Amino acid sequence: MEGIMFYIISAITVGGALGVLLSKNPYRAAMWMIFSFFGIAGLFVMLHAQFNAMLQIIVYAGAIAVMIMLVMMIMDRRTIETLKRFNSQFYWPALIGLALFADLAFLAYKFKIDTSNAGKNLAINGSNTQMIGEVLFKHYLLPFEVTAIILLVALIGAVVLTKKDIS
Amino acid sequence: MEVLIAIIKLIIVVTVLSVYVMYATWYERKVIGHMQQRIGPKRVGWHGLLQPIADTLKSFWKEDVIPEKADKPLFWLAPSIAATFPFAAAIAIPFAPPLHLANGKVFYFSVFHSKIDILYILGMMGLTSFGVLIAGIASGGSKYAFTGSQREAAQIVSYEAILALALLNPILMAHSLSLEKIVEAQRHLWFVFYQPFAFVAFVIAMIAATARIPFDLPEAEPELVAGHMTEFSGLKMGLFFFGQYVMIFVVSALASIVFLGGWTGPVLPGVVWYWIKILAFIFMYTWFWGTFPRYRYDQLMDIAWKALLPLMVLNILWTGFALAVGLPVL
Repeated sequence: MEGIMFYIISAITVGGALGVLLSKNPYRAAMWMIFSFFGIAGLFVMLHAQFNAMLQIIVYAGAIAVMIMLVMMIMDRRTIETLKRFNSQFYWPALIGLALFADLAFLAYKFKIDTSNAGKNLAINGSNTQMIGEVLFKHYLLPFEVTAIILLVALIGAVVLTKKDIS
Repeated sequence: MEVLIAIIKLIIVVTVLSVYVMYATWYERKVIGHMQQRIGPKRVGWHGLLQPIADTLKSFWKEDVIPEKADKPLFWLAPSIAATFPFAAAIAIPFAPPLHLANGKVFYFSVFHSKIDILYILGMMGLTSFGVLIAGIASGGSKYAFTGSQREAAQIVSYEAILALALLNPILMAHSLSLEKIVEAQRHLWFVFYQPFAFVAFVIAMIAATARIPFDLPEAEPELVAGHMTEFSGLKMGLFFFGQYVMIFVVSALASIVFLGGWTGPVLPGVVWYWIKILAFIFMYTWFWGTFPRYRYDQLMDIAWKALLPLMVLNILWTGFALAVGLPVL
C-alpha cells in the first residue's frame, strides 16, 4: 500500500518536472511546476513531515509560483511567445544531469537499495512542528537570523535596482 | 472502515456546501434587496425559494462559448481549479464540535483532521488564486480578463500574508496549529478580547482574500466588465462563483473558530453557537456589500503593506514578549 502510494507520488513529482522542461508555453510550464511541488509535498507527508509538506505548498506553490506567473503576465506577451525552449548551449547542463543520473544509478546498484522499503517512514515519528522550532531557535539561532538578514538585503537590493530605472 | 467513513463524509460535505452555495446567492439577493428597499426574488416558489434551483438549471443549458484564441486545456482547467481548492480547504473545517465516543475514540465532524489544520487551510486558500490566474492567461489575450486576473493575484498574495500574520497571534497563544486545541484554549475568554488588532486585520484580510466588496477590484464592473470571468459562460462561470462562496464559508468558519471561540459559549449548546457565529460572518459579507463603496487599487495595496503589515508585525512582537515574560496579552 505504502509502496504503491510512493510510486504514484514519485510519478507525479518526476512527471511534473519533465512537464516543466518539455512544455513550450511558459505558463503551462509553471503549472507543471506546481504539479511537481504537490508531489514533493506528498513525499514529505509520507515521511510524516506534515509541517514541511504544508510549507512546501504555501511557500513554493502558493507564493513563489504565483510570483513567477505574475512576472510572466507583466512581461510582453509577444516576447514570451518568441522565447525558445532551449538555448544554444543546452547540451552542457544536459550532460551534467546525465552524469548525475548515472552516478545515482551506480550508487543504487552498488549499495543494493531495498525496493520493498519504498514509501516506508524509517525516520523519526510524531509531530515535528515543535522540534523544528526548537532546533532552529535554540541550537541554530544565529545562522537563522543571519539568513533572515541576507534575505532582507536581497529584498532591499531588488527595490534599489528597480527604482533607479524609474527615477 | 476509516476510508469508507471519510468518503461518506466527503460526499456529505460536498453536497451540503453545494446546496449552501445555491441558497447563499438567494440569501444575498434577498438581504441586498431589503437593504435597498426592494423585495428581491419573489416569483419562483415561496418568497423566491426555488429561484437558485431555477438559476442552476438555466446555467446548465447555457451555450458554452470558448473564444477562438483561448488556450483550450487551460480554459478548462481554470474553472475547475477555482472550484476545487475552496472545497479542499473546506474539508478541514469542522461542521460541529468533536464527539467523544464511549469507547474512548473521538469522532470529528471534518473530513480531514490533522495537527496542522490551519496551515493546510492556508495552503489551499493560497492555491485558489491559480484558478483566477489561469483564467486570465487562458482567455486568449482578452484585456479585461488579463487585467482582472493580474489584480486578483496581486491582491490575494498580499492579503494572504496579512491573513497568516493575523492568525499567528492566536496560534502563539494556543501553542498549537490544530483547530480543536485553539478552541480549547479559549474556554475562559475568546481570543478576540486578547487580540483585537489581529481580529480586525483578519476580517479586513478575509474580505480582501475572497475579493468581495469593498475589495472586489478584480471584478470591478465599471472598469473591467467581469474581470477574470469575462470570457467564461454558463457552467464555467458558475464554477468561479461556487469557489468564491465556498471560500467565504471557509474564512467565516476560520474566523469564528480562531477568534470567537468556535463552539464555546454560555447556555446554548456548542453547535448552535458555532453556526450562529459562522452565519453572522456570512451576513457581515452581505452587509458590507450593501453599504460600502469600492476602494481604489492603490488604496487597497496601501492598506495591506503600509498599514496592516507593520501593525501585525508589532502585534506579533508584543504577543511574543508578553507571553515570554508572563504578562496578560492585550
